[in-house]
Amino acid sequence: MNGVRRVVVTSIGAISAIGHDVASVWNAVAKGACGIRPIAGIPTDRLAVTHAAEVIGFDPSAHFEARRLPMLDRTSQLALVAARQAVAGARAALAGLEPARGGVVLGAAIGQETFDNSYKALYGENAKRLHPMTVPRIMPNAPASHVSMEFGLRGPCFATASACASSSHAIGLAFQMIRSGMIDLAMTGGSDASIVVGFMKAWDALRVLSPDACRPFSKDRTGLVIGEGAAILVLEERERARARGAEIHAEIVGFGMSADSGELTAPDADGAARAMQAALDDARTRREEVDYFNAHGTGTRLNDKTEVAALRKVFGAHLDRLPVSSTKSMHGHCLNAGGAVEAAITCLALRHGVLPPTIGFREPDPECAVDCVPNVSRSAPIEVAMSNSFAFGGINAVLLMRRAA
Amino acid sequence: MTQWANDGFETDPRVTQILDIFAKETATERVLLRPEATIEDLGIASLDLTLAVFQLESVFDIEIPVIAARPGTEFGTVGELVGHVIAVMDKARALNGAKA
Repeated sequence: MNGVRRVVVTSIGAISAIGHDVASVWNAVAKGACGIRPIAGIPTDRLAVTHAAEVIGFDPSAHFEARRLPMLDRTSQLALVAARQAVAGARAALAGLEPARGGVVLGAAIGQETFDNSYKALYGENAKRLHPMTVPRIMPNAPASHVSMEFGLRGPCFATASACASSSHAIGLAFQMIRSGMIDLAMTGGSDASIVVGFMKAWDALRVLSPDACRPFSKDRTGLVIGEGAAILVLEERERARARGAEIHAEIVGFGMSADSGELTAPDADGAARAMQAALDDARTRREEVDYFNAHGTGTRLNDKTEVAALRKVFGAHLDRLPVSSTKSMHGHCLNAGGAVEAAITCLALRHGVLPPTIGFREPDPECAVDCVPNVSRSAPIEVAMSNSFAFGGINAVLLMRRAA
Repeated sequence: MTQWANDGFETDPRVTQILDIFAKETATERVLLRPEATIEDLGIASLDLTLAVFQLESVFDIEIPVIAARPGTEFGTVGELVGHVIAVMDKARALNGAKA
């Protein structure tokens, strides 16, 4: 070892509104499929907005034994399903791993379904008692703990809390922990299952939800659409992965974080730009080398124009040649899992040499003057890609990835 | 019909009440709330606007729907905001009247 440890992605698992496994998710992205539909899983009579990107047809009993299900909120179920895919696809990545050298870092995600159901029972239906597993189902580290327990990983295990940037922070920290030599392998990413009546009603009040579609960068965009899902990446130290002949999807080369220290909910171009620049600096990569950008791209008026202003600050004239797309147009805004789902898609874009589209795009907006790969994916031999995640609370996390050599 | 022009702006007492609430919630000087003043020029942050709309909903017991065609720029000016709220109040009143 020459002293510089490199970190590669050797497997990916994913489940979202556009597919129940990573291959289906990628096929849907390449085809520009849309997972946004009228909500089917919860009553919508008290909601102003009745569309979301739900994981349809997910049967927990097909994945978990009856006696284990009471321990698992939907958030943990989705995380475990994605984690199992990732482990299955990693071809014996865990074999021979010293358990303490394997970590789990996921975005913090509370058990919303359990939260909503138990308080409805308590306040709405005067329930006399709540299920004894209510607390461990709700706790925001539950998905990370279940992954650690199922796969025998005994090193660092925790959840990062930064709202919609949570799982990007998780991946970034896992990357740093492997690079620094603390651990050799990490299962990282995040899950989210927040489409419950109480939380959707709370989103209604923020007045940022689109009634029907997510159209990032389009002049007629109408807001964001909530999604759910999970993505888990297996990160490994590169020499270990090569020694065991692992398939390598992409390399994580840089991570940047920043805080706006400004508004609670409004985005800030300067804060976002500082995180992007930090990721470039971390990887010692020139901005001209970046040839695909996976945007935060929520589809709100304010986010998209602010994000494009930040991109212009960082990339200057190079932005005119840089494709910038938002896959939230397909899988919705997966909140705590958003960064993980988008990092997974960005890795696959590098691997397959295909630029994911921004679907639902209808009209250019002078305030969002980027090539957003409108509506149809494109083949392109990309080498370096960046993915943004921004969060309420003025928090930014940016990952930089490179095609596997 | 609400009168906007000049000093006729506040002939409807509801307009006065809306503006009082709006000024308080957004910490904006009351005299600046003229119909033609834009939300942007007044420097009102989107979160403050959302909180002000929420407060108006609470006080008047109405639901002010999001104007889907104009997300984020729903209320360009103070006059547009007031007009929208009054329209929602009138609609709610008509609905209640029909029920009674």
